[in-house]
Amino acid sequence: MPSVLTDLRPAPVRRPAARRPRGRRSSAFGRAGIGIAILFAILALYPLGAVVHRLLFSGGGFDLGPVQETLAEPGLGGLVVNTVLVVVASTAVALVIGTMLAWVNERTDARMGVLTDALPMVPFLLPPVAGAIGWVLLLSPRAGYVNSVLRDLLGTVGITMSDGPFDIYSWYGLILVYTIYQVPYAFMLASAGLRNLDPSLEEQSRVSGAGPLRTLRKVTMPGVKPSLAGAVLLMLWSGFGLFSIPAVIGTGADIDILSVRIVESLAEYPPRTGVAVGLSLIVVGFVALAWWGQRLVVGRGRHATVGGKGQRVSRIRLGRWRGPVRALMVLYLLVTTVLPLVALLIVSLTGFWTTKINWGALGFDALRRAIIQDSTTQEALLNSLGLGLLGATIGIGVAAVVALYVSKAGRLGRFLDGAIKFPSTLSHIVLAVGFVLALAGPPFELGGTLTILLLAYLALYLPQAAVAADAAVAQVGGELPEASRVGGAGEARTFRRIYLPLMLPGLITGWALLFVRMIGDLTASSILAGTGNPVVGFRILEIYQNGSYATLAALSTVLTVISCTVVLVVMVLSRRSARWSAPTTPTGAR
Amino acid sequence: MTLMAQDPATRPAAGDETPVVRITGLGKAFRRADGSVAKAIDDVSLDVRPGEFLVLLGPSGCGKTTLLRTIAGLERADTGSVALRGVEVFSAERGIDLPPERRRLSMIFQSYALWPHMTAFDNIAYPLRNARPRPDRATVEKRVQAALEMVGTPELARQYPNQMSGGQQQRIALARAIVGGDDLVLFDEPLSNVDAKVREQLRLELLALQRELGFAAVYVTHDQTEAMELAHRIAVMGDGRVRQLADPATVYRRPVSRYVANFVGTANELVGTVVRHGEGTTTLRTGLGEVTGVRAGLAVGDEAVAVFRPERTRLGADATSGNGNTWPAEVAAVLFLGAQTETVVKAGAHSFRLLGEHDVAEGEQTTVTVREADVLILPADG
Ligand SMILES: Nc1ncnc2c1ncn2[C@@H]1O[C@H](COP(=O)(O)OP(=O)(O)O)[C@@H](O)[C@H]1O
Ligand SMILES: [Mg+2]
Repeated sequence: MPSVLTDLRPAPVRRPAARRPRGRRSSAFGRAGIGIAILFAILALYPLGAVVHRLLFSGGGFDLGPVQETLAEPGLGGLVVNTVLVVVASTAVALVIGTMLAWVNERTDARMGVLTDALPMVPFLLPPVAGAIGWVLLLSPRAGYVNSVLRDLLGTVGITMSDGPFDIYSWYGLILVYTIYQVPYAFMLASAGLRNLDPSLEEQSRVSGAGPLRTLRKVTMPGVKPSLAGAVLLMLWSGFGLFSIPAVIGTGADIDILSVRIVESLAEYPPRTGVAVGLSLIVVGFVALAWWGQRLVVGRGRHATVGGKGQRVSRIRLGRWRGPVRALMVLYLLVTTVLPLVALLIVSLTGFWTTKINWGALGFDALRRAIIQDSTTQEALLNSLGLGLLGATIGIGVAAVVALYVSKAGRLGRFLDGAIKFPSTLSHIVLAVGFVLALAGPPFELGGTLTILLLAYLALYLPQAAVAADAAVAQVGGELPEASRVGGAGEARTFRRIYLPLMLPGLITGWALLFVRMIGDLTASSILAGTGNPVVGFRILEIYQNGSYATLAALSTVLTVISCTVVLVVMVLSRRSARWSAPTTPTGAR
Repeated sequence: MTLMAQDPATRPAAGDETPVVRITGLGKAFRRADGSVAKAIDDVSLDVRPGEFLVLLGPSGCGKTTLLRTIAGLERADTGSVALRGVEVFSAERGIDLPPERRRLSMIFQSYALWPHMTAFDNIAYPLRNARPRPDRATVEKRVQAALEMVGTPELARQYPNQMSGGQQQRIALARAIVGGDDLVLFDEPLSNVDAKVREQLRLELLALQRELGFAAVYVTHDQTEAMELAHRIAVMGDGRVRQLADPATVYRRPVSRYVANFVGTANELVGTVVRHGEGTTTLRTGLGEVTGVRAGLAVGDEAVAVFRPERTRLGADATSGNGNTWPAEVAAVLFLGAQTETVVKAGAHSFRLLGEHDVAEGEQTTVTVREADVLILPADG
């Protein structure tokens, strides 16, 4: 199956006169790029080969044992149905919410600058495990902060309850938290689609007598359909791969989810690798199905032509609706991002979890105890930061080179591009299993080292870097670098003076995304890290199993603060490096 | 190299100077998405002399851009060779393909291709800063300023491209092309994105600039007025081939084919068969009887077409000589165009266009005349 992520981009930015530079055969950059790409393609494919080998050739010869084992897994039907239900429901809800947020933000005057640009993306920064814990702290039936506040309120009107009214350990609780983690994907891709959609198409519709809503339905939505299809695919993929949310909430609600069962079967002694691999392949099947559906949507007809330079969007004036719409947006952002963060913060500063918040007891002692004085946690944190810095930098660099010089270089280039993006079609757990099988033992003996973690992170997150880099490359129209070549600059100089500065904002954002994903990684870390090479994800799981909510909250808070700081700094940097992209005339509505 | 000055009056001589560009047998095919092969350029050979303004004229899709890009080194041809200033920079046979940055030429793209992250100043300074040895700051500053003044926009130096109008962006692109003093500048429909008034203005300025600086220009356009105004010579292209290469007057008055006659200006046509040759004349039998025109290299019995221009076609009243081709006709339409009036007449099943002042009304019966010397006899195909 070709790569999933190659098809996730919204319709690529293509200027009418732009052509692809045809690769000059003897380009040193091109050759170096191919070399790097081959290395990373091996990194992605070799562990997968190990998994398939393990599945089919377990006892020396050809053996379908693992397949039979998987099919005999108790409760397999319920497992699959539950997983599909949760993932599909949350994807549908998230698509609606994310698209609405994007439309309001891109096309109406309710936008509030960076606030509404960036806040919908914040769940990306909150590691899912932290979010899940945060929501438990808020909505757990007895001690949840929100429930306790609501009970107090209801008590004043004479209704008394001993628990509830909400229960996080339920179908709706599980779907709610899944949804919150899916919305950023829908928001991100719908926004990109709207931004790339030539506004004159919509203006033409308005001029032709259609109102804003009819324009939205008849012109805008069909125009961004490929982006939305990409969003759905991305959400399904990430939904099937989510592990920490179902581990925390699903387990409490007695709802069995595939990803949890996969990790459990690996954690047992002896590990049931065959079953883990078999279950993973079911996940792969669903992703393939989603990918095929997306091709159907996108493949029909031509979509979203992209206009040339400096488009100015004339925003829809909401008039008296502007206030309420803004209030709703802010409310959504508060509830989904601020509330769980506050809950985490309170618990980590208090040192324990009680329903009644004792404001006087807040202090940094508990935090210090949990992070600084715990040498394992400290080591894990430092390891994660180091791996994040190194991995994100290597990852985005490789992705940029591949996007620029490899993916266009004929059949081999396309194959390498696809191979590097291939892991995106698989659950991260599968790949992590592959790394154990391929690299942990002889002859590489990388088990329990930071190197195996770095390699695994790179293979896992390179597809996301590639999406960011592809988008950044697409931003640089074909004639801009060509004009540089004609102007006497060689390939290296053109890269430095034209490609790099133009791509930089996109690459910086991609770097931040990678960094955050790598330091917050839980799935690969749960399998590849150990006491010899602890990382934050591993430590979080360890603490979770010991059941200390306060320590967990502390670690999650620190992780979130680091992620947010890095992303904030990076956003400022990327805005500064792209200061040329905004016209200085204040009327420019972008 | 500094900006070169040249006596504006001198036109490039056709002598044995080394041509700035010499294209020999160039060909390039594209494989389309459906697998079919499209010949974008097909066995093209031509020279561009120093200081010459050569226009590549042809309809959209005839391979003009591809030809220009192979000269620049942005596209790689399948066959043939390109020599710049007597040095081969591309040869399919000998495997030579110099990258664009080593061909010492400038190019103006249809989209202008101004780098959005650089100010006008930095955009223009870019080619200078790529030169080896690199000129010092003061020199760069001076020459960028000179280029900005030459295109008439010294106040734009600190602006970013997206803070400029289309016409201003065009000027900055022009300044960037001339700042290095290259003796060859390529233009790909540079004026197609600005409005008519600005286009006319820029055209005049460009012409003056080219004559003053004396660089050789290869200029792609599909607009025949633009081609006529700018060119020393026009290469009319069709289906990837050069159909005619000559000065504007020749291309207009003596087109070598029906295709060229129709693409360059309006042509009245009468299809027929060659019946005889006279003294310097050829006569066709057509739907309107016999038509005589300038002697053509065709054999008796060949299919041919008689072609004549609207401004050379007259109405009966002012027909000057007796030996013309004259047909009775009815005035079908009178179109007032401002400076001129176009009259459409119907003679039998044919309709002809006439330019000039004619005092007739729609529906009037009249006669149409065209002198033998104004009728070209061309092969019917192509
Ligand atoms: N990158 C390409 N891939 C496939 N076909 C192309 C490509 N570039 C140009 N062509 C084809 O080559 C022909 C000539 O194109 P072009 O040189 O752009 O024409 P012009 O500039 O005269 O409009 C056209 O038929 C066009 O479809
Ligand atoms: Mg063209």
